Amino acid sequence: MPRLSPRSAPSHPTRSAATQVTDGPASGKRQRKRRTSDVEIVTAVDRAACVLMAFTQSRDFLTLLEVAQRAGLSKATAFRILSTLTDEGLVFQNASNSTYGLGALNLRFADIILSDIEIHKQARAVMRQIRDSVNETVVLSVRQGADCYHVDSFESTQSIIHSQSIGMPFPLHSVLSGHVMLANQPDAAVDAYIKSIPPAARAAVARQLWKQIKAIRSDGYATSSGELAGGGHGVAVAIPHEKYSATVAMHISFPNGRYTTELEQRCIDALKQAAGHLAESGGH
Amino acid sequence: MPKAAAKNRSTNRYSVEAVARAAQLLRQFSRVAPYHTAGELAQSTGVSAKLVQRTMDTLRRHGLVRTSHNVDDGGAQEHYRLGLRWLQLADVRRRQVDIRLLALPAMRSIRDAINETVILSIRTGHRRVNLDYVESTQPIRRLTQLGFEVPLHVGATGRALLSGLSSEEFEQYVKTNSLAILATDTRIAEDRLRDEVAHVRRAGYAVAFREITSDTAAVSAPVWDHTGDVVAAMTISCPEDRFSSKLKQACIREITHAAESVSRALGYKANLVE
Repeated sequence: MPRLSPRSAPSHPTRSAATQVTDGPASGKRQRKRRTSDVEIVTAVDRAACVLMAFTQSRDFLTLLEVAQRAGLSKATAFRILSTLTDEGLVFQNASNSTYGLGALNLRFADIILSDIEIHKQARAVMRQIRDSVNETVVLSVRQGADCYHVDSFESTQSIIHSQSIGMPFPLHSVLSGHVMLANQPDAAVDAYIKSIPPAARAAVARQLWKQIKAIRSDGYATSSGELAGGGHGVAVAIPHEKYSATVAMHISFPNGRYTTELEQRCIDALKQAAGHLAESGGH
Repeated sequence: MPKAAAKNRSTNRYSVEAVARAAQLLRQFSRVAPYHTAGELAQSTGVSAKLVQRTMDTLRRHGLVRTSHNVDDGGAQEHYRLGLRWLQLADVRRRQVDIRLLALPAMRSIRDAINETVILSIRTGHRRVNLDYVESTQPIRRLTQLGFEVPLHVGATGRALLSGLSSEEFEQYVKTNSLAILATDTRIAEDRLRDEVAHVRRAGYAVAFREITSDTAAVSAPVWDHTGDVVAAMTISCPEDRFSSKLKQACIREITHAAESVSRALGYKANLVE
């Protein structure tokens, strides 16, 4: 049964496109290597990654069939992989109805990543204070190459909130935090980034982006009203420190229904104060 | 020397070796050692460098591993780190596993063991709210309500939740709240509250009498998540006249044990082994 290799992250223009990998008789014990562009992959590991990603589309627990379908695998193969992942703690099985969910080891890996981000610990304390004072969702983002990742958040405790996608790559120009990161880079770097955007979209993106960057460089923050990825209203600032300004950003996001100029201003003030605080303490 | 396999692995005839090996490689990453070269991974796991590289490259395609160049003693070398995708998976995991799901079985066990009411609460700003409870089956028992907000300085549960505040947050709390105890029409002294919160941090539980209603006693323990934050408190609450020294000890034992197991399920101190 022909199976597509996993979708590459939408933002990275140089990653290889999906390739057809023919499935032979499934054998978990024999590890097969396949050549895809210049990189040899380990098929079973590739499949295991697809199995993990199957859980990311919704927060529901999944049946074996659902995992198999989403990962593009036979039930038998999916079962063997789920079984191994369960042993390893990456997946767990609900005893009562034999559905699967993600295991606690995922939390540990996330913890290792966050503790490796130098400014994370201080940022987290500050983020919680902001959330407690304005009661809207606060998000910390970092740049990796041409992408912005939301790495941590404190959510509003209100019943309707604007939830942010954690741990997924967004092209820098498509999210507010990405805008402030770009604004803190030299013009040449922004030009280089724009060149990496597919030609069809490039002109429109360039126009909007330069307009935003100009505003950010003069105001010290960025705002949006629903036109960016995920919608909602947002305010973003970068950390005004040489080390972080182009790579770390914080933003507050709230649903359109709660928008007032007063709330927006409170968010701006809270973020600017927080960013300044972090710049000082993160300075060593 | 390859690390010892998990107890199930060798007996699981459905195990996929390559996947188990990938997991073994990933487990070499830790808070104290967040990056490794291929050579280091090969050495600590016994997997060949070539296979390490192929496995890491496969994981990298999915964003589960990323590379950086660090200057080490050996000059600039390519290092592997965990990829940012794990943040997405962790977020899904957290949304999948509601704390109620994790806590309720533990709470039922406590009720089955000592037959007193067990309550799960969370902090919301300067107050706390009961998320769920398991009731004693005794005719005289603590009844509770859900969704009712109570100040943090009142009762054992509040102390347990206060233990998660930083010193600045605690000072902010005592500055902006009246510290009144309605059931007794008194106030609690700031210093006493501070001591009791310190006790929770040391001993892992709080005990309080007659603060919510005039005839109950409670023992509460904080629950922590993978970030080390206090995310909830679990409390056993019962009529004061049943609260003998023997029951008190049983409550302390049961509630701290339960809170610890829920915390572990939330990823707390998952790195303790290293």
